[in-house]
Amino acid sequence: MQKIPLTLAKAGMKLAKPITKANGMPIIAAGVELSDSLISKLDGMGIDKVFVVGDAVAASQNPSERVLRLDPLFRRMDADPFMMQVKRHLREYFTIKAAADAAVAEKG
Amino acid sequence: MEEDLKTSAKGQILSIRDLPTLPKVLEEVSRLVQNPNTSIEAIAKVISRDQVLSAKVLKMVNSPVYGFPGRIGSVQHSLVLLGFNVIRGVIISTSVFDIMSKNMEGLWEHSIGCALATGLVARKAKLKDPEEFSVCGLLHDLGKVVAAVQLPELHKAVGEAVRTQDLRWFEAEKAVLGFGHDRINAWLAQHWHLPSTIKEAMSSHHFPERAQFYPQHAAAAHVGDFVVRLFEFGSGGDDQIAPLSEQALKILGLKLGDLDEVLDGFAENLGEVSSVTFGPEDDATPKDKV
Repeated sequence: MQKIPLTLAKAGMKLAKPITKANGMPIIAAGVELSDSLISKLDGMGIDKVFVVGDAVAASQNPSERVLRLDPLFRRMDADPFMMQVKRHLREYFTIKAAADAAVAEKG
Repeated sequence: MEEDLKTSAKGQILSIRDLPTLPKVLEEVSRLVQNPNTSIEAIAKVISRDQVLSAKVLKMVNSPVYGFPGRIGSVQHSLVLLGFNVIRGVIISTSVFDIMSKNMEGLWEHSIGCALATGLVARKAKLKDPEEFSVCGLLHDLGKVVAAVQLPELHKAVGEAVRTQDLRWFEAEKAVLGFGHDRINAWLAQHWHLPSTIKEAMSSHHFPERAQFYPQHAAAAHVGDFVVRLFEFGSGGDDQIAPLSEQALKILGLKLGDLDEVLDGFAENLGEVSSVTFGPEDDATPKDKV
């Protein structure tokens, strides 16, 4: 899940959190897929940020992508025991995040 | 001989003709600040005269990198909340934005990502004035862009060494130039009279355990740099991680597991931070004006 400015929202992205009015009243439920018309409606309502599921903006934020990138990123660290410990920790962290994202996506 | 090369390179790097020009306003403000009787109002007035600059400053300080997203309405307000050191760092970074994006692709994203991460690290470590730490992250690679502008041939050779020999940028700089951007950072910080905290973070972010006076600033920028590399948001010239100093975590009183919260905050806010750019196509004025 990630918070993005509405200017970066695109049709096809899925809401990870409901959109609410300032007073907390929900307008659109989590799991709804954004469309161009919905985005312009949100813009009209003065909504400037949304929470969306997954890797919508950049592979940077996609935890499954991060897991895959650990080997290339750490390619020169094999002889460094502390860095190997760091890598194991990060693999676990991103794997758990990826599983949580997948669960949210399925629910939607 | 080696010293000679360093001295001549230093002269070349600091030959101001092509140094990113800092706004005149900044010079005037720096003078004002030296007088303890100067009011914040007077400083704000000088900055606000430059409307383009003011709009850029407001765009930056309202990003989630600093602690007050979307809540700062005026330059004066930003000075009260964040202090002059932070605003000065922000002005410097916005002034080099164009040069940065032209000369080293991805470096702006890497820098602003590092600012976000460094601020999160400082908050997690419960350090005072986390915004000042963000600025340390923001400026940590400034020396790279200055080298790119002042020593373009050598800069190219560094990039070449990175690609062909699988070196990290910092290692390649030392192989090609004989010194790294950390040294250039120190010269620049001195030249621009940046506060010692920011100077030391800029010059010691690769070896925070060697920082003499402000190891926490250097350590926070070091860990911030590690985080932004891990997410591969932008690039400081590398496509690999740099070693994370165990000592840096100790200096900050953090354990490896404490990074999880930093990573959470980074991933959550990255989308919003990524929209802070200053290209001609970017609307530098607050959104509500549209």
